[in-house]
Amino acid sequence: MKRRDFIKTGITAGLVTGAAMSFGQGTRLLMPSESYLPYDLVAVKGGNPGAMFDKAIQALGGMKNFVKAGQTVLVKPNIGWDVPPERAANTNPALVKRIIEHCYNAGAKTVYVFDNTCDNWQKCYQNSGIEKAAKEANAKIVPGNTESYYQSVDLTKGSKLTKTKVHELVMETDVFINVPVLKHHSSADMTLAMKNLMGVVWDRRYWHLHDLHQCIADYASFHKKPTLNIIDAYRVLMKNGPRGTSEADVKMFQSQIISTDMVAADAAAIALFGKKPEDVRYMRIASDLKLGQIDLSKLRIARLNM
Amino acid sequence: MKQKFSWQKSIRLFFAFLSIIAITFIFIDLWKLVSPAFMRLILFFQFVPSATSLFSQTSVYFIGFIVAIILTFFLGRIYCSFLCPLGVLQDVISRLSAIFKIRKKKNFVFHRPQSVFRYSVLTITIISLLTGSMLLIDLLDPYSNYGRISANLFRPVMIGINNLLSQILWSLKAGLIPKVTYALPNMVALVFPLVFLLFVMIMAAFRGRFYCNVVCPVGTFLGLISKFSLFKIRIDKSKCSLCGSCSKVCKAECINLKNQAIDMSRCVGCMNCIDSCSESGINYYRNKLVNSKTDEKRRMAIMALLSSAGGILAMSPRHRAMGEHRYKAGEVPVKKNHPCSPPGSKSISHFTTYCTACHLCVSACPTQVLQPSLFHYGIEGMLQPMLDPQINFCNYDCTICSEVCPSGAILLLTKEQKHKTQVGRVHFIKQSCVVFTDLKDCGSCSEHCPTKAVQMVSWKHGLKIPEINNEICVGCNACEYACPTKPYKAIYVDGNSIHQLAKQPEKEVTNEGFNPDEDFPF
Repeated sequence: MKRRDFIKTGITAGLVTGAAMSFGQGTRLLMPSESYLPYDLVAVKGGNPGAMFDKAIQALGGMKNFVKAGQTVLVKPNIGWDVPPERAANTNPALVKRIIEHCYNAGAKTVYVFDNTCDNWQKCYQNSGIEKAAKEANAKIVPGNTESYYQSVDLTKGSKLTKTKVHELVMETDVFINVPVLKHHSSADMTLAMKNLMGVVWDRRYWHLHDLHQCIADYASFHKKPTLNIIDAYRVLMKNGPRGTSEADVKMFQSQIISTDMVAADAAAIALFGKKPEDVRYMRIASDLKLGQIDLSKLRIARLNM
Repeated sequence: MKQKFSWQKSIRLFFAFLSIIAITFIFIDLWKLVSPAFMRLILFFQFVPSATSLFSQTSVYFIGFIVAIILTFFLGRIYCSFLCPLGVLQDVISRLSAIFKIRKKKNFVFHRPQSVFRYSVLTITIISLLTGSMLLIDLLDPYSNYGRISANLFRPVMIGINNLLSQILWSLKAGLIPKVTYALPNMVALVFPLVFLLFVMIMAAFRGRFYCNVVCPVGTFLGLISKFSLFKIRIDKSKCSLCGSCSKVCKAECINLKNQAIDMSRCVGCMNCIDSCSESGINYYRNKLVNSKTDEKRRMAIMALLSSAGGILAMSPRHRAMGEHRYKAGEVPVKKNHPCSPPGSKSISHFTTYCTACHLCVSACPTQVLQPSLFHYGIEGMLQPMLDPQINFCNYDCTICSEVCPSGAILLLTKEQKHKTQVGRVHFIKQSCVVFTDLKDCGSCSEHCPTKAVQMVSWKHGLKIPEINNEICVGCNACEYACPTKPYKAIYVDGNSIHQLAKQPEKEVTNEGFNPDEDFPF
C-alpha cells in the first residue's frame, strides 16, 4: 500500500512540477523508488554523528541512490535558535557537514543549506556552528530572512493550510534532504522531520493561528517532499524545547534515524524519545492522510550499532 | 584661489573627512565590520555624548569633550570644522553648492551675529536640562542629528542598494549577498531627520555655517570659549589690502572688512581665509598681540553665563534622575504602563536622562527591536529608542547596544549580567489566546521564550495553554512578537520603570528517553 502510494504521488508530483518547471524533476522520475532500497528505515546508535551517517547511508546503498551527478541539492537542517551545538536546539553541525560531503561525492553540482530561523538568522547560522561546517564542506549557505526568497504555492491536499509561501530553493533544487534534530517542543509536543519543514515557509504565524498540528500535517502533504529524512538524535533536548534553557535539558542518545518516509522517521524518533507516535496529534493526522507509515512493525528496519 | 592648500587646511580636511566617513560608516555598517569598542573610539570626541557620559557612568569617555574644550581654549572652535560630522556635512554641501552654482552669489558676505537668538537657544537648552529634559539637547545636538540622519535616511538607502544587488546576484545565481531586512520606524523618526537635513542643506548651500552660528548650542557654547582662546585668527592690518577675498570664502560669515576683525565666537576654524589671502596677511596669532577692545562688562556677563552653564550641566542630570516617569498610553489597546528601555539602561529615568537619541544602537541592533519611540517615554523622550515587539524581539545573548552607546544611557553589560536583567515583565490575557478561543494548540510564545518564563501546561481537551512565571522573565518581548493573534496580542511585556533582577531558570537533569546502550525500542 505504502509503496504504491509513493509511486503514485511520485509520478503525480513529477508530472505537475515537471510541467511547471524548466528543470530538475525529469531526473527524479528515473531515480529508484524505495522499493529498490534494502530498508524502509535505518536506525543507528553509539557513534559520533558523522560516522553514524556513513554507516547508515551505506545501509541504504550510499548517497548515489539519492543524488545523481550534476544535480542540485538542498540540505535543510534545523538552525532555528541562537545557541551553541551543546544545547541541542539545532541540528548537529558535524552531521550537516558529512551529509554535504556525501552529496558532493555522489556528484552533486551545488549543495545549498538554509533555514528560516526564529532568532536572528546571522546569529543562528554562526552560533549553531552550521555556517562554518557547511562552508568547510563547500556548500552554499543561503539566507531565508526576507520574503522575497519565497514563492506562493498551493497545497491541494491541505485542509487548513491550502496556500503558503515556500523558499525557492525547495522548488528549484533537484534533491531535498531534510535534516531535523529530535527535540521536545512546547507547542507541537515533538519537533522532527515534518515539523522541520515549517522552516522552509515564510509565514509561520498562520500555522499557529489556524491549528498548528493540522497545518504541520497539511504541509507534509505538499508534493515537493524531502528525498531523504535524516533525524539527528545525537544530543536530544528532553524538555524546555524547542529552544531549551541550559545544557541540563540535553541528553545523549547518540543515535540517528534515516528514512525516505517522513512519518516513519518521525514515529521511530518519537519512540526513541520515550513516547508513542500516536500521542502526537499531527502524527495521527498525517497517518490518516496516508502520508506515511506510522506503524513501525510494518517497516523493514536496519538496526545498526557502531 | 588656485594655490595649494596650506598645511593648516590640509590637516583640517584630513580630520574632517576622517570624522565624517568614519561616523557615517558606523551607522550604515550593514556588514558589522566595525567592533563596538572601535565605534566608541570613533565617537570619543563627540561633544554631547561625551559630556553626558560624565554624569551617566564611570568611564574614560568624558575625557573627549574636555579635550574639545581645551582645544577650543587654544585654537577656537576648530572642533566644528575638524570633528563635528554635521559641520563637515555642511561644508561639503556648501562646496557643492558653489561648484554647481546653486549659490548665485558665488561668495559669502559678512553678516552680523544673531546673538540674541543664539544665546537664547543656548540658555533655554541649559534651562531645560536643568529642569530635567533632554528634549532640546536631543533635538539640537549636531552629532545626534547627524546620527539620526545616518540611521534613518542614509542607512535605508544603503539597505536598498544592498538588497537590489543581492536580488540581481541571486537571480543570476552569480553570488550571495545576504539581504538586510528593513523595518519602517515611526513617521516622526523619519520626518524629523529629513526636515532637519533639508533645512541644514538649504542653509549650508546659501549661508554656509548658518546652523552652527545661529542654532547649534554646542557651537554657541564653544564660541563663548573661543573669545578667550590663546591663539586667534587675525588679519594683519599692515599687510591687508582690503581685497575682501578672505571674507568671500568665510563660511561662518564672520570676517568684517570694515574693521578688519574676525568674530572668533563664530569662526569655525576652517582656515579657508588663511589660504585665500594673497598677502599672507591672515594667520593664527597669540591672543595678547591682538589689540583687544573687549568690553569688560560683556566679558563678565559671558563668564557668568559660562560658569552657571557648567554648574547647571553638572547638577541637572542627577537632579533629573530623581524624578518618576510617566507613560502615555495613547491608543495602545494592550494596556502597558511603560515601554521597555534597552537592557543596561538601568531604569527609564536613567535612560531618558542620558540618551541623546543618536540612534547608533538602533543601527547596531541585529534584530531591529530597538526603534525610535514617539511619545512612549513622554514628549521629552521623543525619538529615544525602545524595544518594539511589533518589529522583533531582543536576542537573549546579545549586548551590542550596551557596547556601542556613546553617552552612557545604556551601560555596558556582560552576557551573564544581561541574563539577569529584567527590562519588563510578561502578562498573559487568556481571553485573547487562540488556545482559549479556538481550542487549538499554538504555543508560539513559549517556543520563543529563552528562559521558559512562559511554559505550556496541560489544560483541557488535551490542549496546552501558556502559564507565566514573572520571576524568570527578562522582558525580551519574544512572546509578544511571536503571538499570532490580531489585532491585539494575547501575551505582552510591560516595561519596568526600574530594571529588576531576573531569577535564573532552574536546571534539572533528566534521565528519561533513549539510552544508546539499550536496544532500539522498535
